[in-house]
Amino acid sequence: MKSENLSKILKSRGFKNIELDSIIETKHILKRSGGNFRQYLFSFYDQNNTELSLRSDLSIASVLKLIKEKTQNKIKWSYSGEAYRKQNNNKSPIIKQTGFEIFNSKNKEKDDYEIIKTSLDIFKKSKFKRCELSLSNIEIFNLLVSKLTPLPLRWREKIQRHFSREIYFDQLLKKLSDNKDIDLKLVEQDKILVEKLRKKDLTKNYSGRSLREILERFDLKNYQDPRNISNKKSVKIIREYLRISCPIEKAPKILNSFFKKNNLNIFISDDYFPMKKNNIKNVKVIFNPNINRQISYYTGMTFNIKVNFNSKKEVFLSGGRFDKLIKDLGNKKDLNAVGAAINRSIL
Amino acid sequence: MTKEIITILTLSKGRMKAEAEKVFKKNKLKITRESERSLIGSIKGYPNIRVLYMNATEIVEALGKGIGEIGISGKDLWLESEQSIQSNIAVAKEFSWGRSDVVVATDSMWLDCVNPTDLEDISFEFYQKKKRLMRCATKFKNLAHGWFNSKGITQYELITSLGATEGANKLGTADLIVDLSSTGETLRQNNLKVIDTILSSSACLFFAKKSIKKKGVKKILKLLSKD
Repeated sequence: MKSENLSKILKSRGFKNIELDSIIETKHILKRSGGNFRQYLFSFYDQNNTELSLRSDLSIASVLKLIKEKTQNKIKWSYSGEAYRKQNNNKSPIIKQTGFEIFNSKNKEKDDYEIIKTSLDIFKKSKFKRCELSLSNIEIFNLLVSKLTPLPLRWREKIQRHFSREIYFDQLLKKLSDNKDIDLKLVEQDKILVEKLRKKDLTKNYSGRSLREILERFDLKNYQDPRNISNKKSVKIIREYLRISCPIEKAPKILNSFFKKNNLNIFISDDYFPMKKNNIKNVKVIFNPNINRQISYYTGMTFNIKVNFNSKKEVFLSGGRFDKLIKDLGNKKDLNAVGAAINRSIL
Repeated sequence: MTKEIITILTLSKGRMKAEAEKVFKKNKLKITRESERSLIGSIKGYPNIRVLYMNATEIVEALGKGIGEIGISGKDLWLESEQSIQSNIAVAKEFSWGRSDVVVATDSMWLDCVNPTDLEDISFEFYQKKKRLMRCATKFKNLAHGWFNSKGITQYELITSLGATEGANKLGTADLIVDLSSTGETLRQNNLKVIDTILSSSACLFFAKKSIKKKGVKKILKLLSKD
């Protein structure tokens, strides 16, 4: 598909094509992606000693543009261009991206549907005949983890926080299963020391943290919310949930019986999914909670469209809702957003 | 016909220099230099070999760039080097000397922090309560990035420290460090404790991968690798 045809489709659906800045302040990227992302950036300093980077991702550039606009209205934007990332393999550092987004939805469900509908329209105009549309919702996963109360709160938060880092996420689940990382002897020694420290100056600073902060976390970890029982059952529930895959119309029923079986007080209505039925010709619509996990900023509905390309299933397009990113990147107010990006390499 | 020159890069100073010299000596490779201060030497009986005395970090970089065929340096410096340098070099032998660990160390008063999982929580505490990234002082930026990444820690920034890194916490320039430790004594003296070891390093005999086909390189490697 030619990029002009893509632009035509997006324009006809009301998405305004915008130009994005090529250079952005590094701190914005690190804020969203963390310090370890620095190794992928092409960065440099300007005359004021501000660190700048070539844009590593177009969605960050689009959100920063939105913040500058200071708008209160609903906005529909599309953009196309190159992102630049250092790669550890021999891949090109230039990544071609096309994306389209809706900011500040007044009706989130309607706009989620519009993004998916536009995505399917793009698929229909492409060279591919059939596709699989997978839908999920991060809120369901977060709800499930929040109900696993045998797990300490800080561990539930940790699991939610690391959902997007699959390898580390698995390591966390393993730690929870066997508790082998806890050295009970050391804990007992530290408990004795802590009792002595309680009488000291709690405001004293130790490498950036006050003694009060250190003791508060110590107490939380060892007295108030300790991890000293087996968490195998909770881990099993998480792993089983992530293996669920079913036609979208059956998803609420299957999920609800799964939660009931595990004595979890959760009810899922079909409102969680912008598409309720599998009634589109040549499109198989399924629920799959394991999609788009590498994107850490999704907060709600996520989806992807897969096609057969060179005898392999490849992601043609993927997207989702990201309601916290705009505030995280410096906007004063929360501003919701939903969008999708096209894999231009297979178009 | 003139023989191709083989360049061996060895350590010019530091505690590992004497150990490296022993490797040559015990394998009957006698290095001769014009003076003690000369940075170029030759080996008696091997007219096609020249020996260059260099800094340990420079040895790794020079081998990676094709300046020299064989070198002695630290495994930590090799693994810390850029991917483009690292991939051009291979290890022929790991020696039993020059041992030290690259460790992650935090303030010993952080009693709530005993492993990387705790550190990940604390990095979020920094971000949420202090509105800044947790700072780590190190000269091992690549090794540190890899370690933080493998432990799921994203909220951090690295501060370059080329010396006296153990003091960075006390000076307030960093919240934790990634540094070399042999006995742990310097860390203890600076009220630091090890929460993880990234790498156990020792001196290594390296060779530039491209040079292995060069006549005589394998023979010298074999000689220098002898126990």
